[in-house]
Amino acid sequence: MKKELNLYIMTGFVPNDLIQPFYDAFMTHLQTKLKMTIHLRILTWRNVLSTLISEFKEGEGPDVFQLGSTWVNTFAQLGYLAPMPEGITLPKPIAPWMNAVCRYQSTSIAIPWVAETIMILANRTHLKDAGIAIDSFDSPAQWTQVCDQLCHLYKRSFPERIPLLLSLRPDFGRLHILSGFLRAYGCDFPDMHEVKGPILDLASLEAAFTYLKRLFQAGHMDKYLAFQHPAPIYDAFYQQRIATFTASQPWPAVIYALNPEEISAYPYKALPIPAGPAGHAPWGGGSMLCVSSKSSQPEVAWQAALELTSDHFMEASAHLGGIMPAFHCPFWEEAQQNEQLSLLYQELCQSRHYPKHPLWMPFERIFSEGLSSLLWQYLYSEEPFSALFDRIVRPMEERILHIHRFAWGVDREG
Amino acid sequence: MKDELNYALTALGIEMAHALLSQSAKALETLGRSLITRLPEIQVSSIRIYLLNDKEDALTEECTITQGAYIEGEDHIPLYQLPSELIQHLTVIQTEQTVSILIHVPLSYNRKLFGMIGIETPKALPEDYLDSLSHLGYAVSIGLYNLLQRRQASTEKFLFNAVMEISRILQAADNAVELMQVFCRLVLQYFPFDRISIFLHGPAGDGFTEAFCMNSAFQMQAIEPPAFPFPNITTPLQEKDIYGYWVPMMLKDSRKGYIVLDNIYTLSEPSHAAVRVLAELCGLLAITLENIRLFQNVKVHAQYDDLTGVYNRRMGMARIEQLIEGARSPQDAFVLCYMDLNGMKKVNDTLGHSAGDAMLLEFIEILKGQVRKKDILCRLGGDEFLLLFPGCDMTEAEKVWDRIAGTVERANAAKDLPFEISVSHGMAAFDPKAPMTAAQLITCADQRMYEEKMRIKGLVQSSSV
Repeated sequence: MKKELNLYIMTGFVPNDLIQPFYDAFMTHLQTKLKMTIHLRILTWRNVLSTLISEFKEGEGPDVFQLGSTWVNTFAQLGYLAPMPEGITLPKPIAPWMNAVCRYQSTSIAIPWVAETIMILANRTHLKDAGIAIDSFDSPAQWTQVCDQLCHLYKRSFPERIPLLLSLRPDFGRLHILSGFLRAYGCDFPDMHEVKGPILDLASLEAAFTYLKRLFQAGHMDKYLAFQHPAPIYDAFYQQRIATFTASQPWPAVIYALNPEEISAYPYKALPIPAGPAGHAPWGGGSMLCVSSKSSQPEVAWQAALELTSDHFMEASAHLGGIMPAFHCPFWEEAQQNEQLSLLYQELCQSRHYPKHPLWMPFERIFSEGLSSLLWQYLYSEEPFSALFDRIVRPMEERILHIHRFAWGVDREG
Repeated sequence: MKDELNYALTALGIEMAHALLSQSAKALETLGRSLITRLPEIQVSSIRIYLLNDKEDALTEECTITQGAYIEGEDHIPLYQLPSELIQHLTVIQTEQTVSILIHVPLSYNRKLFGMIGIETPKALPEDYLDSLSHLGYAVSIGLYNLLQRRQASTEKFLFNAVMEISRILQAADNAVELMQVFCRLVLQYFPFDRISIFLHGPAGDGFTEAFCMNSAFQMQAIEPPAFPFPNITTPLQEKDIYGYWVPMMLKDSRKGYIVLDNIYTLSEPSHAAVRVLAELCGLLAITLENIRLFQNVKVHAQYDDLTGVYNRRMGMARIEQLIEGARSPQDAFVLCYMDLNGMKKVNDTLGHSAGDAMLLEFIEILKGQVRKKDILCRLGGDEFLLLFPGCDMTEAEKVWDRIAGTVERANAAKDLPFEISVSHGMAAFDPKAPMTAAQLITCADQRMYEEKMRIKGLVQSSSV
């Protein structure tokens, strides 16, 4: 039996040079404990799917790997995931949907690892300069009012600043940002096993997009800002700090909450996406740890995966990278003493995942491209929303329904 | 000044193009780093390289190169979000981003856009510089286009090797199920698809008699063909929504079925070159399956009796020889039963041959329902049959025969048949300690059968008297 284990994880939000030394040290510890050489490979979210599938096809690939919550069902259906051995006791996940995501045909096939949600990130320094003390918005309208207020202030006193900056290019993860806003207006994704006709509701989608249009106008966002490459937007918000608000995973707020002395590095707070007429249902996602069905040493692989959920690892990941554990652990027990972290905990508890479906991977991509295109057209053309809906949304839905027709051999019971 | 800049940028572009001509791996990273360090008079923060996707509706970022890093691409720009001056007129465009300036340099070949280089700088550039950058773009385009063509050729070489291996498999195949499993596995291994599905028509050409699919984990399963009509095609047809293709399995002008290749899970762009190659392989598959089917037919005809479906005489004799050959111990003893249907000629003469055939079939059904799984049935010819009981002694064989006889009696009584089934039988036991030849066994059993037949005839005659 080979004495090596391959472990793949994805790049997080924090630059690798901050977290890499910790990973290196942890791998050394893991190697000693498991008496095995661990090869750690860090992939980007963009290339992980094609990398995993092509390596699995060749009979290679990792023993243990991180997998996005929306991909677990697909990978399980393809037979890439090893079942969890009996006798492993996992801590209770925070969000109720995580149990379902980690099971396939009544078998556990993944360990909940990292929890994510989308929130409003606000620059504390900007808010202080503007004299605004706010921990949450009572309504979507209040957020646009604050953006309006900031806009006026910035024109006078901080010309290099803008109220809002957000990337809406149709990439992976873009749908996550839109989901919370859509749900606030009653627009959600149905059980995709049952769809035979229209998927999204015109009225609620229009209400959500009308709000977003107003928000972006108030936030002084134009087409070059909203649909740019994500990297300069990231730089602009986190390095140049020209914008007060963005919508993102709350990792900087986590780091600040754990290291308030780091305010100069991470002056951010996280606020919930405001509840709309349909209430508040934040998007919930995250990553799971899985063992490959091709692994020649699954028992050791599961041990390695469990080590990655250790209190020490999760604590360090939170401090260094703002990564939130997906399960109840000492981190969350202590977090209840911290206002910001307990808010994040509540958000995760309330969060809602996408509908579970083996083809959610392609569906998400189609929704992401379609809704991004719809938003672009709605923001920058004169066409009425109903016309855009017919021109963009209905074909998007037709495409999904068409894919459904080809879903032979796709397991409904996942 | 402008002429000098034009010259400098053109020369730089040509130099980079030359470098691309000789490179393969890391070519884009090298190009990016050169642009960062060698563009005159400007400070470059990052270089992004985009290529047009297969659908030609978006630019997909291949990579971003900064001073310190090479990052795999994450961006995807639909063409409608880019200015028409860039897309159609291939003009260098400068846009102000939030905290920097981005210069889009189109990459084109034969006046057609195939990519873009994004140059990020802290300060806006004068118009003259942008014009000069277009010269750089033209020069780099030549080298980059050549690089892409070489990658395409390398892909095609890979495809050629794949075709050779799959063709070898097809030539050696003699079992349809194994063939299709191996074919599907190799296609998924060599070609960039998530799933392959095969739908085979029956001999009449309508409907599907077999349908199954295999995914990228090489799991194969039988499936129900979908209810929607399949396209009426003789050449591959793209199925855009699943990033796949319908490939008809053509045998001369007849379509034997369909293969559907798709990327339904990943929605990855399929390779058009791969599909051309796969269309040929699917034709080979159709031929191979037809050959296997024909061979099986010949084999069946060579081994089985056309009417009753039991072994024919040749196979029956071969099985006896096999049992004799394999008999080493008392457990290998077997019994041979010779059967003859009584009155068959009379039935044929009075009721016709179809009635005679029906009587044979009725008798065979009774036999099949009563014999053990390992017992062997064979039709010697006409109304004569052999029944072999491997691993059996005479007592046990006679018990089976009693069951058969009882069932025949009940069938005659219960069924409304225009004829009465009557059969004579004789048994001979093979003892490994005192082996006999096949001919001796058959003669012995035949003799006993004849004796029974005479007894039955005698009974019938005496009853009719």
